Amino acid sequence: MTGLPAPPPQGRAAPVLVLCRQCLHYVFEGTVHCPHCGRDSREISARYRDGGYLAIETMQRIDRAVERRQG
Amino acid sequence: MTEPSLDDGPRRRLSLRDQIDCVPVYVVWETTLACNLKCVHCGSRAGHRRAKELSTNECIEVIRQLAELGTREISIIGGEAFVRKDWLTLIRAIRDHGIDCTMQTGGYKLSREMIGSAAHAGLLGLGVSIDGLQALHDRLRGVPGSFREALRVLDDCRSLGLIASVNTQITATVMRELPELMDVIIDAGAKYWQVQLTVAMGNAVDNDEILLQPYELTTLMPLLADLHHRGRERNLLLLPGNNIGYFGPYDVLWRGPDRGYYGGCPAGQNAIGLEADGTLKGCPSLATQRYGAGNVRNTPIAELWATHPALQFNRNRGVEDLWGFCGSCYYAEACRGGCTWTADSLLGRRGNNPYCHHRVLTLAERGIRERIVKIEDAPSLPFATGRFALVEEQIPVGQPISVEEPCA
Repeated sequence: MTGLPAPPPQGRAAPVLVLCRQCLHYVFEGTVHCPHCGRDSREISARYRDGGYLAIETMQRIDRAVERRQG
Repeated sequence: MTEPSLDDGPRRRLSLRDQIDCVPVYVVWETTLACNLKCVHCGSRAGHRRAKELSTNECIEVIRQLAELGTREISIIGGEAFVRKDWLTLIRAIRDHGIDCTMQTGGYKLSREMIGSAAHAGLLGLGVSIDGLQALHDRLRGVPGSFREALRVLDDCRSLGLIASVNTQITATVMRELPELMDVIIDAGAKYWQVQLTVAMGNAVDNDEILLQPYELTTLMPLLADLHHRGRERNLLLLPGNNIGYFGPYDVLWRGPDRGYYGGCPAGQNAIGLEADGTLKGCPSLATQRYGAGNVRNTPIAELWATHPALQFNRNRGVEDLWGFCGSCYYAEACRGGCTWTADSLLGRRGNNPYCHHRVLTLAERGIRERIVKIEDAPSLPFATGRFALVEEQIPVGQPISVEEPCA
């Protein structure tokens, strides 16, 4: 036992990754040119939209925004 | 010693605040090193109890302290946790402190009555280790009849209404059995199936022929993806352990998009491992010699958790520990070399993990693969590591290079 209580530990959160809307590989949030497929990772492909990823992405964005607000 | 599994539901899921405040959300606790199996891949070399295992009262004090720190789930493991006479008392104490309790077991000699008592005491789920079909499982677990016993435990869980999951160690020999094994465990009542690669530690170093070669991920990962799809059709969720990854074409299948993505190893930031004698670590499987962070008998857990250097390595998420391929990887900042245990046990230093699908595929595009070779045995101690060399070589002519498209 030491005298004073230790300060609470502090860590950093994992960076945010999203799926490239073209090739479905993970990229860091804010990435424009996908390092995997070379295309614009923001452009929504049919595969992304029809696979339900767009809806899920929207829900994730809402979750993150709520969490940041609470944080 | 196996990584416990249940679905990574909301209680276990890490929030932004959990990460920043380093809340030890998840604790894996080796309550005894005594075990009734003799597994050839056991990293902790379990069998006999440790010299000074925590008493019942000491264990309850540990639970109280963990509850104060915000722990939400404790998985009790061994050895074999139910070998302790007070195992039901510990389950009850965990639940009484508002913490979810799960248990990982080999299932050998765990009777239906004992399972019922554990459920009554508050056990939420039971993970049963099954490492292959009967012949392979019994050989790996070192006890004839252990396979039948494990299946019987699954069936007992089903009839008692207790959630049952299966953990499978991926060894070099089990791959071809996985499809049939999945059918067997579904029929026996499993709802979750967690798979993890066998790691080069303890007995697995002695028997290193069972270790998968990194380049074999090109075969394993598509197989797991196929099983994931087929399992979902039959109400079985295949979940990747912490050393299945990372950021390859199938990660979106089992870690995303609705389940998030791999956020790096949680050891020491949001996970705690406890050895039966009170030694604290960031993860139960890490080498005690390098990652032991003091003993809960001598120092409050909050003090160890806040200050001990052996627990700090994941908290600032720096990339300075990364080396080799991982050091220059696109995903370095997010992945940070994946499972600390896997990399550190293999190469004696964390931060460079050849068991990565993204890495294997990237190297394959260059016509290269990696192979591990044992160069030093492990001492006869729990959680002991040997030494392996990483050999880079040209992919043999005629060997197909499988670079898959992401899985939708």
